[in-house]
Amino acid sequence: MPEQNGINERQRELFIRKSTRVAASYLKRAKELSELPEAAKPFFDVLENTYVNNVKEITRLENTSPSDFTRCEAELLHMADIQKPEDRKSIGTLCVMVPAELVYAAGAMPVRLCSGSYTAYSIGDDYIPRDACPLVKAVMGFGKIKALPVLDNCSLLVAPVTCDCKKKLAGVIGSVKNTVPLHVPPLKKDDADTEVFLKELYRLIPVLEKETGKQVTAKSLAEGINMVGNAQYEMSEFLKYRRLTPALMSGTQVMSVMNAYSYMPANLWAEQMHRLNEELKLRLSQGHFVSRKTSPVFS
Amino acid sequence: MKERKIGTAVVCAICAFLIVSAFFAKDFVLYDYHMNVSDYHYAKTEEEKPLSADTSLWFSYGDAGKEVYYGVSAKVQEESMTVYALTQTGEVSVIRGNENPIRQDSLGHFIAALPMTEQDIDGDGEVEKVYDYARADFGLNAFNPAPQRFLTEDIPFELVFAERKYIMVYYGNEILKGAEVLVTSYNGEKKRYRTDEHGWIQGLPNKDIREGFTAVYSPDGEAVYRMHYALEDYPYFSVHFWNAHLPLVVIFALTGIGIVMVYLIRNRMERNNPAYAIYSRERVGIYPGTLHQKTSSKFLFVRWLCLFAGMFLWAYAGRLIHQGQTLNEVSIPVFSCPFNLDQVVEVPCYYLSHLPNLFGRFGADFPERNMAYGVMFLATTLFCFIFLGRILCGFLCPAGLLQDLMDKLRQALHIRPIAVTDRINRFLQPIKWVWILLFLGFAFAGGDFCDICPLKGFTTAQGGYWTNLYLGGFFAVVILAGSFFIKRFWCIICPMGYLMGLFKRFNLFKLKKDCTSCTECGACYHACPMRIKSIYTERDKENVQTVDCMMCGECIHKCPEDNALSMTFCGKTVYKSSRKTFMSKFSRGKEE
Repeated sequence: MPEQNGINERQRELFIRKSTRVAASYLKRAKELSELPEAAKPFFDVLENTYVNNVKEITRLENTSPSDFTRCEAELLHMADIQKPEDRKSIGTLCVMVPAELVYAAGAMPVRLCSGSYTAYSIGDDYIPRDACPLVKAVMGFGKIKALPVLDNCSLLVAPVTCDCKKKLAGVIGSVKNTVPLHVPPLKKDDADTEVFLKELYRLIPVLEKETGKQVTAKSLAEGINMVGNAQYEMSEFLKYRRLTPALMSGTQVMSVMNAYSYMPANLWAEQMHRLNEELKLRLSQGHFVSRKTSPVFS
Repeated sequence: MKERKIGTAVVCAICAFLIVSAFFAKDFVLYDYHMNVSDYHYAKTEEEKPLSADTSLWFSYGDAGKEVYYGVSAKVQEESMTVYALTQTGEVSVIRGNENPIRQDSLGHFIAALPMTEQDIDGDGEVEKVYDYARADFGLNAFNPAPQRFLTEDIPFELVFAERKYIMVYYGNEILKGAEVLVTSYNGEKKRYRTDEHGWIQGLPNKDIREGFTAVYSPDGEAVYRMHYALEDYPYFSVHFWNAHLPLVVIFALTGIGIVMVYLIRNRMERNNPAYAIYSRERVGIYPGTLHQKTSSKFLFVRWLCLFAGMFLWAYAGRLIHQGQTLNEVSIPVFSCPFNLDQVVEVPCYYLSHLPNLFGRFGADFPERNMAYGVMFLATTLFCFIFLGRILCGFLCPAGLLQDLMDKLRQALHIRPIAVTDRINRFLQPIKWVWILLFLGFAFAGGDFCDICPLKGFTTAQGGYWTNLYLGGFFAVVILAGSFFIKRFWCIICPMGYLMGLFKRFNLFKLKKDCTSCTECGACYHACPMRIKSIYTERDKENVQTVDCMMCGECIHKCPEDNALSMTFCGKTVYKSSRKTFMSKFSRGKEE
């Protein structure tokens, strides 16, 4: 079996099958916790699409004679990519310091890549310095095994250098992915630091424009700000319902809903969130709570 | 480091220039009206006798200013007229006949007298001795609030315009108290008035004084004294009124040139900046339909309303709300030029910059009035300083309105502002100290602050008063061009503003911060026109008002957290930040 980037084909298939099975079971359990609002279901669909669904790609191998009883078809297992418009490129971001508004203004879609898996972590451990955190090693691992389309299909990875681990990651992952670091000053107090950050963003703009081929104009930036702002507005409304005790929605489901933001365009997420907010408002008016008054609250 | 050295050198140069040029202020003339009395034209009037003249002679003025006319009734010989003129030395000069009485040293106060005639005025069948006079007050010195009296034996009956509000009556060179006087108004109506213990004609309306009137007094029924009073005063929308705006036209024209120059220089300097490459593709502005910018903030609306009301109050209301109000002596510290002596409320900048004159407003002969005025002035000024503080800067100052309008103009033209960073703010502080030094101390060095004041003449010109502008006019150009690019540029270096901010502990209006709600985003710092950083960096204390804070409320408007910043009046919250207001900018607009 040919080795491919650190693990062989069999191990890769095993990894995909296991990960998707585990992800499916967790998501199923999350959905079955106390009554899931109807409007929250599409968020789970997005998560399933990213982490559960997989497709089998069958390619016909060339140069085999009909009498060859070895395999003449290669089955390659992939996980499905996130759903996005065909013509939009996705830009991978780590950390919140990369302005999503800027990425939307350039005509791309930002995808948050901060996540982890223990298998990927052990693969990435070979490449990243020893004292780095598991998250960063997992990102590297995913980059190497090429099993996660969310990462693989990004045309660019923007890594804000806000911790030492990401500093190392930005250097090392350049071998498998087109990476651009963003130097964010550690403190915001001096005006000089704000100016430095602004310069960094202006340095980022041509890089993004080159990837997408579209220009960042004031209008597109205003639209990007409006889009992300609307998502933040829906989020702030959502948090108002989230704060209530007894709870209107289970905490795990809340986390899943917020997690889906990383894999959806902001406007779609905001629209769906708006529907969810309406439903929660209805629940509040009906007194439909999912926990007891005496349940402990971890906030 | 090299930047810092250049910056220090530039600031030192600017401060030195300010101080030195202040002593030569009168040499830089922006606009001079030549209002000296000797520039006036004197001739016989061609118009008919006005309705207000119950005498046989009168004075009147031309519509465009700088013209004085005398008129006599048909049967009067012009050569029998005698004109008495007050001169700068204090003497009364006498000119006979209809010769031009205007001399180099004339003060602009003239009384013309005719010889006594015997007429039957009151229709009782007996003739009385009638003495006819006419008085004219014109030129620059007519603005003097101190009563300008002739007090000569040749003129037994005299009317004097006092404090820009009252008519004092003198008889036999003494104040006439408790006497009855018949006044003919500008429209010919006659009414009886009484004089009070100051000698003022009690209850005489402002309009009557300004448009010309005649006062008739008879001590015993046998002698009748009549004096027509013509004060040089021009109504709104006359030619004189529009002429008053000419310096403003010059200032704004120069400001326009200045703005274009700064814009081009900035473009040139920023060529190496990567941001420039992006900005040069298009002009940045707020595009309709993309950003739902209009958050309704009642506070800001109230603030704009107060600013406009303040401007109206100081520029125009002087002729509408005037006669006999104690309000005139209340002084509110804003920068509205008190050369508009008829403004409704007083402004302390003149006396604060001319401290030696504080108790001498009405001249040496009126110590009680001087004291009353001085005390009232000090009391109201100190009250405003201590208890109101810099909220007047944000809410009432006409100069503040002017700067805010320049800022709005810049936004309308889609031009980027110049950000005042820490460094620039540090360099502006020495300039502020120089202004404070000049403001308080220039009078003691023998200079006149009004010549270098950049805000002289805005509300006066709007009110129709002719004001000469010297070096201060050029500074005004700098201030306006600066405030186009930098929000509230003058307020950062305003001397009176700084003095008002010193008493922030006693202010009734306070700015408070709840440090636990604050998430340290820095939006308040970037919104503040005075570039106050401590409002953002403060983590413990509740009171974040500094000397610079002018209570404009921008920080509260931009704060995205609930109740992190608030403005209180006597402990009650007037305006506080809320997340909903902030976030509702981005709602779809359908429900909220």
